[in-house]
Amino acid sequence: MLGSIYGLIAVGYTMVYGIIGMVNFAHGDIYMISAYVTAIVLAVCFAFGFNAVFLPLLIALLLAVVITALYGWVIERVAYRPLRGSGRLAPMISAIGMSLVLQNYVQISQGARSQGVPTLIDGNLTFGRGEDVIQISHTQCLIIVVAIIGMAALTLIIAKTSLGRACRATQQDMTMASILGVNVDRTIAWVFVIGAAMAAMAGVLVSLNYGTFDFYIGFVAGIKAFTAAVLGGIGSLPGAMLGGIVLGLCEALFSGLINTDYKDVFAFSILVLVLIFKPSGLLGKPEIEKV
Amino acid sequence: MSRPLLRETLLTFFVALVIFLPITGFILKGYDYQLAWLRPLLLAIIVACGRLVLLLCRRRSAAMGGWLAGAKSRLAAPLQLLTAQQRHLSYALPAVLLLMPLMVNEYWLTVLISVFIYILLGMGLNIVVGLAGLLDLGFVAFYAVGAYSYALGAQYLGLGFWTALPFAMGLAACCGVLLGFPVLRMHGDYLAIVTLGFGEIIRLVLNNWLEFTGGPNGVQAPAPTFLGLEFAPTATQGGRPLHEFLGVDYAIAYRYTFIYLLSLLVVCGTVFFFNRLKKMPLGRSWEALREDEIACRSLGLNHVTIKLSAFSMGAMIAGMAGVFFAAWQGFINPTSFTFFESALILCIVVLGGGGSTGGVIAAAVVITLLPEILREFSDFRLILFGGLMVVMMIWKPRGFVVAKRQQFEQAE
Amino acid sequence: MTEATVTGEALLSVESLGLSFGGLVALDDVNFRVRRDAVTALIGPNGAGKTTVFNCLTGFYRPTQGRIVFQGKGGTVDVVELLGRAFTANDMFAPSRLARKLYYKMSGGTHQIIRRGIARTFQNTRLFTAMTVMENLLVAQHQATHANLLAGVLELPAYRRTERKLVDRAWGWLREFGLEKERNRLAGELPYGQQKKLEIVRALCTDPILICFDEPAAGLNNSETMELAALIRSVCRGYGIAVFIIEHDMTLVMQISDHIIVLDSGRVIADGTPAQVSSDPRVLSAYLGTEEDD
Repeated sequence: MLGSIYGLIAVGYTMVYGIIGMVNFAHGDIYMISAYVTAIVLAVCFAFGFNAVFLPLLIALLLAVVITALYGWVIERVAYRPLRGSGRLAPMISAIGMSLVLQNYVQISQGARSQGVPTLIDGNLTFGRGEDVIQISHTQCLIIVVAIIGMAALTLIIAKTSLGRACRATQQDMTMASILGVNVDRTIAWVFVIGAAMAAMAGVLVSLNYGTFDFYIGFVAGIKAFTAAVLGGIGSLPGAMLGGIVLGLCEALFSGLINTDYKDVFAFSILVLVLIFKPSGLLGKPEIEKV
Repeated sequence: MSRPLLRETLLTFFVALVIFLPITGFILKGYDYQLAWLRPLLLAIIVACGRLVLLLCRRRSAAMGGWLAGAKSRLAAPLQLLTAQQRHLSYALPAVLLLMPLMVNEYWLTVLISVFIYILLGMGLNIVVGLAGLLDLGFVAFYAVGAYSYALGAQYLGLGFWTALPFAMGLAACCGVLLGFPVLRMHGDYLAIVTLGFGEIIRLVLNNWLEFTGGPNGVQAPAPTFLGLEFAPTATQGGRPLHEFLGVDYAIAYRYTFIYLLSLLVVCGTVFFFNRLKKMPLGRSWEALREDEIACRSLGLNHVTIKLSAFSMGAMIAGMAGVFFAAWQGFINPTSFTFFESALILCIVVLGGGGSTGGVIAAAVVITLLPEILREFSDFRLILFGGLMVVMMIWKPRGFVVAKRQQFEQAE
Repeated sequence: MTEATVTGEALLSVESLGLSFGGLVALDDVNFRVRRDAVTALIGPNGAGKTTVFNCLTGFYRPTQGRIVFQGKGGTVDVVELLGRAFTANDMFAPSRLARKLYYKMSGGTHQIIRRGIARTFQNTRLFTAMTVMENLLVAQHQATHANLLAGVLELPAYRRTERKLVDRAWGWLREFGLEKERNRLAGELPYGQQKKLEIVRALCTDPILICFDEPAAGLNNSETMELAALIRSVCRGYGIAVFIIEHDMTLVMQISDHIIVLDSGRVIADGTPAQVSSDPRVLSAYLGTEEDD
């Protein structure tokens, strides 16, 4: 469940890394912004008296995805495009700067308190009978369904559309793709937009599930999603999803069986261990060092 | 105004409006909200104007270039004077700083101590990022290790300041090596994330290990001693309080003065060490590693030891800074060692220009003093720094001060 | 092929070298020798595996099979072993082999091979572009530097003497190649031809026994190529450093080399003097692409 959230965010990391080989540090904060947009849209909807569940939810999802995608586009435009082809360190630092800006921008305009959305969907699905009951709330079902739909749509886009073809071409060889008439700038911008949209979905879903969030959630979620992306093999879309689910499960098991306080430590340790022993991840291709 | 220009500006305005509207226009209050129409509008107008100015500048880039060149040549003369006087400056500045305690009050003394601590941290990170080109986002972890090993060492082992200092430095250096091992094979971005994760691990452990570290409640750190003299109202560490020794009344200023002078000494030592290091084989091999790791290996350089030495050397300096921080504050808790701190140190290095000593010192001074001067704007501090990092990378990726390189002449 | 031309004193001998990436066989049973006092050239069509051979020799790739025996500084070594081999189950029953593998695994790596006296240049130059020319050369002499950190910080006389010696040595090479005026310029600022030369100087500064050039003449004009040919010959003849070179410019190869190895699709197809190789039908067919029985 949590895993599919990580997976959705991880997709953004993986796509951006695959195409321009940089870690988009501000990606976690995009997810945070989406959570805020959701809360705001829902608050506005309720104030205007939409008390039904699905209409506000749909509006919130749509608006959050559109606005957050726009954020993704602007960030790429402002902070990364001018730096393309100037080494690895510069875009990285620029991204960290961007992440700081986004976090504090939200903090200043919305205050440092944590915010919340009301519980929209309650009720549980119950499986099994007698003592062995597994309960899954409707919200969690929704999360899984939306995550699957999002992933399926993304896979279709990459596999079937001309944009997807352009993405794959650019990933292989940026110079060659541009010589062959692919608009590389536009493709990269689209990758950021799509990544942001996926993160936006995650933001909407997570705010529905937990009800509360603050301007700092993007940071931890960002690292964990990156862990998921690395675990699955960075650059690979199904890998990102798989990595997210594996990480989510591991974390749930760890906090359930051993210790809740150290679950973040555990997640980071997984990242370090994966990078030491299998840097190519579960589904990634090993990288051959070019000399 | 020409049409494309207008269109461009309007487009920027609308995009900015849409972007700012939800976050700044509606302030959440519980499950309700409050409207603030003016803020997004104002922000969008500012952004659009900025874009317009930028576009105009680009169009008149020729004229701008001329103006810039003029400004540069006007600036060149005083700058040249400054570089010519640099030698004198490097002697005069410490001398002035040495006399500082006589001239300023406690408040400014503490501000200067924090400037020194940030200079130390900046120097340490400069070795790792500026010279060796390894992007370390968890640098604050070594700072925390230094501070905690002093505080906890005093609490559990009864270590004094002078024993704790080398102990903390050693421990931080070990942590540096420990972190260095797993990340040896990684390139830039992975390295950044892993170090970031490492920094968080250290902070989380400090926060959650209640029995040992006191968790969020923090630990007390004793004041430093000097030749058995203590800087406390009454002797606690088996020495004599300084004010009794001198036969004067107790004042907390003595403690600050002592830490101030000590950290000044340490900063001078570190700056000297750093400057020498840059010209030494080790410093050269760090820079070579930053430039091209494969070429380094093809020249017989052991990239493993070089990377590890950079990590441990940087960590050692951070550990030292941590001890000073703990001794100065007298009390530490995990909130002093968050990612923001790492970002701040990185900002110092970036603004100072990788590898440059003077630049890092200047950046540390600016970044620590700025929020002290602009108290009202302290909320905007981090957003400003973040923005500055982006702008610096686009505009002057090598920092304001470009490090001078060693010149070689023929032997006689 | 006549073995007679290749005898002499073999500095480096490659024995049944093989390397595959996944299922792709890059090198297959490659055998050849490099003589101590000669210029040996490795030629072949694009994609024949020339640079792969280089990367195996200099320790950037780990061959999947075979031996590379090098008569380097400090005795004869097997380059492949020096890189550290993967452990196998059999090692558990042969403690001495296990111990040897463990030792190389811990201390081995590319740099160890270079320290035995193999230097190389790269197809696309890999200079330290933000460092000066002289600094590039000093980094290359890292092995000879004064290792004591404290001595360096305090500028003790012993440290100063060593540094001076290294600068002087670099100076000598710079003069040899006509680069001494550029010593304080950033390496990245130099024109392309000088960058190529600087990379050769840098490789020479590691004090090698064998130096490997990967397409040194690529991108140079005619007169620069002629100058390069003269320099390479002087490196080999004047300083007694064995030269192993990959080159596409056949006139250059024919002019400077004493011995040519031809590689095609990961196999050695010819091995001999320039005259022998240029008249070999298999070489002609590999280059011209004519069908012919093996």
